Amino acid sequence: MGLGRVFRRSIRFTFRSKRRFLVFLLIFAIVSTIVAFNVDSIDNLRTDELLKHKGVIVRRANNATITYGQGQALYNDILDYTEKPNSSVTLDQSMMYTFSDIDPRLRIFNLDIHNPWLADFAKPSLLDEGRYPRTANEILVPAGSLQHRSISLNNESYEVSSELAVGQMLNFKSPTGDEINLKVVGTFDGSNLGMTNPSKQLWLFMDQSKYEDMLSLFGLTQTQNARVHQLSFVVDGLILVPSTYDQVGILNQQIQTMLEDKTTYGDFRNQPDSLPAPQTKRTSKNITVFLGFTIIGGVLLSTLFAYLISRFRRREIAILKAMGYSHSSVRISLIGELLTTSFSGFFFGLFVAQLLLFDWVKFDFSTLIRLPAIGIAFLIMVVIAFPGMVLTSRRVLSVSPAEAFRDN
Amino acid sequence: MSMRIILEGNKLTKTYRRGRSEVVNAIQDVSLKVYEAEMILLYGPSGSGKSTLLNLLSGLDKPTEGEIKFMGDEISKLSEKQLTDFRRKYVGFVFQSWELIDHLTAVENVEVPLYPSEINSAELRTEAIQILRRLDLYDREHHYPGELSGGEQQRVAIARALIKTPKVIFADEPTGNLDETTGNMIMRLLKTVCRRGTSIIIATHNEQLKEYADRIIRLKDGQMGG
Repeated sequence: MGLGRVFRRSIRFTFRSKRRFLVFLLIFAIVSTIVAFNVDSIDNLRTDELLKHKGVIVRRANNATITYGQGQALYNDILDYTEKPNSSVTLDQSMMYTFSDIDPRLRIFNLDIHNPWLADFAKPSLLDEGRYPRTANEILVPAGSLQHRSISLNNESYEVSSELAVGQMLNFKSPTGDEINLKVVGTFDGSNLGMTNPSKQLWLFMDQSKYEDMLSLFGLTQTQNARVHQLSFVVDGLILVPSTYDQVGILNQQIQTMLEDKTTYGDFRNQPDSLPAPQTKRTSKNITVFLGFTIIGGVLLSTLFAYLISRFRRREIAILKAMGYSHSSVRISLIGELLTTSFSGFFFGLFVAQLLLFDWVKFDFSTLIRLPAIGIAFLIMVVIAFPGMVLTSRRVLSVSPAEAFRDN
Repeated sequence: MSMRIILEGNKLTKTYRRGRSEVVNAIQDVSLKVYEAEMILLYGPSGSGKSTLLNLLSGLDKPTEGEIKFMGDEISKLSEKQLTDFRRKYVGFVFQSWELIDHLTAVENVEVPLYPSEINSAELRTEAIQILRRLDLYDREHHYPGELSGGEQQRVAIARALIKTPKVIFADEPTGNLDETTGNMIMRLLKTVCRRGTSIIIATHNEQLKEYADRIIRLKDGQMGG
């Protein structure tokens, strides 16, 4: 009860010493905001930009037709190359993206909804509206997709169309009566796919499992009907580590050599130009350096905080000790103040940052620093505050209660 | 006056090292006894060793030589933790500049010494208010130190010392920052506290306080005399 009361009171009293509280609140708010921005940037690299940093994309040349067999051959050969014992490239993820025309008005594409960033043409950051599919019967459509219905009236046939919207259900029935229901949960900017006239054909993007169900519903097979439009490979290793970028370069080189054989693999082209490795490498380096400085700065700041607090409160600490406060009681009172100030600063800084980042015109929440990044930034702040706490404790222990009486 | 000895210092010496070679004898061979409900004045000029002696007797510091007994038990050889316990249980302090915490109200300042204790918060608040009222601080409980006069602040400081019902109160120049009238009022108050059974040891160089003391111990250059 006693130490708990000391802790609770120290939190309450922190807000009372207004000037000291506001100064440190502001400093912690600035540091927290910088940390949160940094972590958010790195989180972006971890997800949306991951393919750009540690991946290689192989696409079909302009509207070339790549058969499933050709695509599969290249895909398997690249996997075989990376699995060789002496290979200097290790893969983390890979995916072959195909599409199939169900009929002239409907084309379906496969996705891996669990690794959305592997599909650079339909990744979460390209979403216009809605969200990324979470279950197999949820789908994406390119923005502006039209759905078609044929209507017969007085023996004349009419085409009517309307724009597909988020939340709309699509129902597909086979001649034998089997059916599949799909729900549109998001629209995305499909310009990466070279869509020139989306009204000609409806394109639906779905998880691999539902894609296969759709093919089977309409009596089609991958090998005969599917065409390959992209292969994505992500090498193993951490972003921000140079060897990861070396692997990307080696894999790119190898694929370039393989693609000279157009008869086996079809008219593919890899995307070395879309991977400005030196630039991304530089970005990652900058972020590492910035994060390093932030952490070092944060540690210095919390150390300075500890130093100033124990200096400002030196006499008060001596008096508390003289009155019979144990080391742990004094320590808890200071830690209460440090925690209150640093956490208040963190949340205040974050709140201001979110206000600044929020797109008030579109009322768009996607511009905000995301929850995982906030969580990681919070952990970093705790780590940063730790040396300050240790130092505060040490300095508190060094204050002698005899300082309570000045020599007269 | 009761003849029960509360505190006893025998042949106390405290030496400090100043720089590498110079040794300063802050207190040298000082012996004294403090009886229950006795007010003692440690009188001497600045640098005479009054504060050092207060530090030793109150368990804030340890003597280089000699022994200190509190109610018959030797305290000069206790560990830091045991000394902290001793101060928490038996000792109250009144400082020259009151040393109240600025951002705490009067009643909270009085409660501070007992925050780490197991006393229920409501009881603690009642007790603190009662003590403040006993010291004529009606309706000042929720004022901050900056809103109180010097005399009122010193009474809050005395209330803070009294809340633990200490056996001994150590006061360092308790009237040093007060005008004569207020200083006399504070001394009368301390005298009343003393009559109720608490021993009080006051370090001062103010000659006018002598009239309140039961006994005066003169210090000069770290030694008793006069």
